[in-house]
Amino acid sequence: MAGSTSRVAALGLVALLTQGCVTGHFFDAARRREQPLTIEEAILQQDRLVLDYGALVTDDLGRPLGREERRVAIALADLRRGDLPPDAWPLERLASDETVPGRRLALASGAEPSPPAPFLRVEARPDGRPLRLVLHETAGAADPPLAANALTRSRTEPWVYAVLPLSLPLDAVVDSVGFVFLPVWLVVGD
Amino acid sequence: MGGIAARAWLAIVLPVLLAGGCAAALPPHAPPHPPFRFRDDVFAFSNQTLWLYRVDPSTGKFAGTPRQDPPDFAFRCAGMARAARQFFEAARFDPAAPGLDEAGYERLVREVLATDPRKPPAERIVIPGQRDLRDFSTRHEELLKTLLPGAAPSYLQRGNWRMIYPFGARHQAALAGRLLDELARGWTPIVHVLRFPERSINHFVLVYRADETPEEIRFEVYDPNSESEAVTLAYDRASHTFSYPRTRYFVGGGVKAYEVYDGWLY
Repeated sequence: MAGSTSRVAALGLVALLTQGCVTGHFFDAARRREQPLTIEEAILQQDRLVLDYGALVTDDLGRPLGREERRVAIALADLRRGDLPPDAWPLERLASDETVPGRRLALASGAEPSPPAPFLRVEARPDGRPLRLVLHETAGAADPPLAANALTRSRTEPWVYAVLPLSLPLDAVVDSVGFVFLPVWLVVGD
Repeated sequence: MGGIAARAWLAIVLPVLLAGGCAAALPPHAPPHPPFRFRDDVFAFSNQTLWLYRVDPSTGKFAGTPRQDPPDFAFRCAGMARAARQFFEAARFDPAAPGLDEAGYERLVREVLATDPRKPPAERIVIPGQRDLRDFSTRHEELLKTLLPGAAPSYLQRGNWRMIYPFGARHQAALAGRLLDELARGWTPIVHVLRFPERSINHFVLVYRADETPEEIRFEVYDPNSESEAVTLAYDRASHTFSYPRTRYFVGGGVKAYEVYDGWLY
């Protein structure tokens, strides 16, 4: 019985580690991404910038599923660095329904003349979605641009965890069958 | 016995499957040659799709219908991407040299297509009397269409085993970095672009250039379905996802990608 349990656990572990076919595709189906669609408001606080934005919710392949209102805070010290890749920004996710104190900034599009500083310039992609955000803290002094896709958020719908007891054993079978045929495929394949 | 079998299974399957998710061996350095140019280094004809696609005005959805006359040159995307790489890596066009008759060109094309698509050859095969692949394939379209591999490389591509497994963000990020490295080394990676288990795209393209911005990497690719313009396979640095633009056969949007004709597993 103990041996049987350990074998089942081992197979489950293998299926997890190898991102098995069935489990992995369930996770893909449960993945949601939120990408900035519009910048609604920018609020400058003492040491951070708070952004309100509309986010397009998509599935794993980018098909639209809806829209959410989101709010993040970005430390000004990080904004001034200018060397962070878009997937490494330390963003603080905030509830979007609370009042935020601070100075509301004017938003300027890429082509508009500059309003009095401080303001936030929003450069857009050809399809209108924000591409880069540039904070002008004082007149003539712009912080390095923030890639708007740094606001992208990924999450996994919780239902996927309910199907794991079904998918992991299936993966153990699928992976085993795949392994048997893999050498043949490698020999006959181009 | 059951325990031994399980341990053996684990010992063999685990490393292979884990290796399957990782990058294969890097290709050797290519001999120096000019960079790949879409204008010159692709076939003058394209792979044809079995279906015709259009936006359905009643639903707004992208839909396909079978062609009335089945195309005579279809299912060739893998073979064409593979052959474009072979001509780029293994052939050298010499327009100043005297041209050959059809039999002479046939022999040279067979030689080029017999080279290993996974690594550059030690020496290039000279194709006299032709300026470049586009020029050659314009003048000798029927010869090339006859000699290019059929549908087999698309269906039996060695790396196809990988397509059923999911591609996570880490895999896609590693692929983007790897494509950049290979392009910097003068190599032209071939990528399988897909949406498995969906079948809306299942395609092979050759990557020949990359433009980097802080937000994304835009890989210019030779799509065998389009001889007239390059296509951009875009990689988003934040979400670690690839996207393929709308084409005459694909609605456009997110795709998964992995490199093929690369190492013994792919």
